[in-house]
Amino acid sequence: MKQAAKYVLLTLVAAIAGFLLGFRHAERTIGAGANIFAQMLALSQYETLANLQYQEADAAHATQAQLDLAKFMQQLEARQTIAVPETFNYERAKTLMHLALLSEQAGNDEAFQQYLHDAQKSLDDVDQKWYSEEAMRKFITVADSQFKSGSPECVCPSRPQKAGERSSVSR
Amino acid sequence: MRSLLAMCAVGIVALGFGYGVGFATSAGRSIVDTPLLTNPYASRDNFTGVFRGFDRLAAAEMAGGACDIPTNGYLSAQDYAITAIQERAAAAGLNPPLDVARARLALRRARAAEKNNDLQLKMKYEEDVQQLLRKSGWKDSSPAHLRQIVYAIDSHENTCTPSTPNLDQSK
Repeated sequence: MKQAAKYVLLTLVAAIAGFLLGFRHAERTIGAGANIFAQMLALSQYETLANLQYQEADAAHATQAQLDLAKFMQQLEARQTIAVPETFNYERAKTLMHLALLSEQAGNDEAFQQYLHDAQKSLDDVDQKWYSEEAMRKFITVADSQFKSGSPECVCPSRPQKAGERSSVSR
Repeated sequence: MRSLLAMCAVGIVALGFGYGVGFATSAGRSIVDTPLLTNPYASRDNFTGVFRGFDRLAAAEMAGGACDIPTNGYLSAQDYAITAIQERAAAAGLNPPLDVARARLALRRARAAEKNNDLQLKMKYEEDVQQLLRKSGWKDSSPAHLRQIVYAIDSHENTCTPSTPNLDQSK
């Protein structure tokens, strides 16, 4: 009788330990992959709609869409662990540059400078480099032309030139 | 000695069984949350509802746009996702440009109607496109213009490019 109880206890303990190990392993592999996929997909869809507004709509609608996208990113960052922070910061820099350019068009220099600074900061978080205003303008022109031609948005092959390479604006 | 061996065997089998069940449970949870299957209404949190809605919209759009075969299932999935996002976006403090998504959906429906030789329905959907884009502040709200944009995005994601030029026939 004692022997049977030992076997039952052993089976239970081993099964529970196995369950926890298996659950954690799947969470770290399949779960992490699914999380990356879900974040990328949701963000890219939100961006597609907001960027279509930026490129095709009037200034008021374009600004509203970009502000909303920025808010979505902010909430996403606050509620979830960002799976690929580099790509996320790169995408945020694009949104902030759109807002900077819209502010510039509206003649709001203060807002332009603030958004530009925030965009520079976002790229700085990616690779610890501070890019000049000129480099940021080039960066957003390239990114927008990629979007128009239907190129992927979330992959980031082109980065703005480093400030030190072209101008003296650096930290 | 024999008893020890038997205990080891039972322990290993129980551990393996537990591991398998744990792994399957976690993997199952991830599968239920995949973008095309995720239920935006399932979460109590409004932001997560919007996030899942965008996941589902992106997955349905990708699948619906592939190979220029907008089947009813994918179009309904998009419709469902857009409605789900709309119902929870305001409560989450967001206002995404859903009219652009609706216009894109109407364009795909127009394409499906054209394939079924239902020209009246096609015209109705194209009118919807125009109305939605005008409401979104687009400078060029013609269905032909949106078709060009959607075609560019589809042709990038599309693995069946030979069939896509058909999109231009209805211009």
